[in-house]
Amino acid sequence: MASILITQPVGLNAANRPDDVKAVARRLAEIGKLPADPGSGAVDAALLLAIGAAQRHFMAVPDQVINPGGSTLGFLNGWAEKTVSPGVQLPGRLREAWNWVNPLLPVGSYCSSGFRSAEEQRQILQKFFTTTFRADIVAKYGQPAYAQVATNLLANEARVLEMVRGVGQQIAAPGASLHQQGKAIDIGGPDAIDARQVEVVTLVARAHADLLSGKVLKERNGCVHFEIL
Amino acid sequence: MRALRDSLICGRLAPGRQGLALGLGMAGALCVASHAAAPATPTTPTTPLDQASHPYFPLAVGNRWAYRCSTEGTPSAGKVLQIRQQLQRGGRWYFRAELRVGSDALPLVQYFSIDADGSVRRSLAAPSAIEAASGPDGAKPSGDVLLAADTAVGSAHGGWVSAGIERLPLPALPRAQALRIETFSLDSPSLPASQRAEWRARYYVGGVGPVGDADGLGGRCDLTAYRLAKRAVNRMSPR
Repeated sequence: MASILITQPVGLNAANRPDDVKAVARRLAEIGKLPADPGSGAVDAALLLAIGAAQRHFMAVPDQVINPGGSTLGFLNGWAEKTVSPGVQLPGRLREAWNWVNPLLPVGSYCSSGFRSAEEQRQILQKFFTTTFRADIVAKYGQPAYAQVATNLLANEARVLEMVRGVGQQIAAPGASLHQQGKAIDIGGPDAIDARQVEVVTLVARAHADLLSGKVLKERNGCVHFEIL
Repeated sequence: MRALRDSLICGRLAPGRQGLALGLGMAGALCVASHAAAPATPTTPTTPLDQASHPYFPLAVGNRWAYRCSTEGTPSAGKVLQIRQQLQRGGRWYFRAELRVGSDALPLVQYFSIDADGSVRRSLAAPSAIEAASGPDGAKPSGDVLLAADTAVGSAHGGWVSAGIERLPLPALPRAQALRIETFSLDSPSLPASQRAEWRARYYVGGVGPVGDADGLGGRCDLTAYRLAKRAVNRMSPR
């Protein structure tokens, strides 16, 4: 989609030059906010609703006006659906949050993590214990202590967690992570766009204070992590 | 007691431990016990002590790095890595380090050593055990390569790979340019979420050492303070 240029404001009580209105309507149709491009160059209720629908992604109260050089025009020009990595689950309100954020994110962004079950976290913890950090754990706690805990990883989960953490590995207890509560999303992408991702999510969080918590973190793994309520 | 045992080189003690051993009757017994595995005359390391270091990991007794840690932004126990002792065994210098997590009194003891090519190795076994396994000449390298001499992007580090230098603001070094060594690259959107969760990375700053780590589950540790002993010498320039 080519960028659109407008010379005057378009929307509610705006100048609404026909060529500007046509460009805006075309773009709103392209991104699915208008059912079809009317091509008339006239502002009607459907167009205003469509502008408002686009703005709702990042504005709590859309003003239904698109200004030349404004943020709404910037988002319309960069509007694009981003991918979700294989295996990522986005149930319920997590999907809703992703849908608000998604098209505004800079090119190169993708959803890298969403809901992760407590069982998945438990499998990772157990893999850390039995494989990844086994030698470290044995070195620190001794083989007898390791073997004793290893006899029943589930029953001894608190001790497994303590030992994995005890050799310096951070890990949340199964069930404790916000991901396992279906309340966190990670956005991947090149480091160069991390700051913009944080800006976008922060903006969306302000517009949807009833859905996003406002907590946005740039994680060391290159992801921007945000949470819902 | 482990510290003392490791410092013994059958009949003599590593520097700084002599006074301690004089008052301990067990010292002799420990030394006798380790005679079976140790050579009568330890091989002198071929690398001078002042070169037994790495530009991204200065190795010297007294070096200390402290970290604060968190998981998904929630603070967790911090940790401290400190080099306690240097030993020579089997033609190599070893640096005995302790990693302490939170208020846990029990440390994870590990041994760092330098290969002839400048790579840093990490072993969990005491040098005496390493020597018993590899022979008195110490020709067989022990432990895994933690940090290779070549740190260029794509270089291998014991199964991990260098991702190059990146800006890494840290409490101790707000403008740090850190070398990232990671298990694999996370750059691909097609990487499955389950695999992404298993990513891990370590970060090093030239002339400072290990400044942090991170994982695919949102865990991270950041350097808050460090202390380097004056004797640490870095002959190579960080890339």
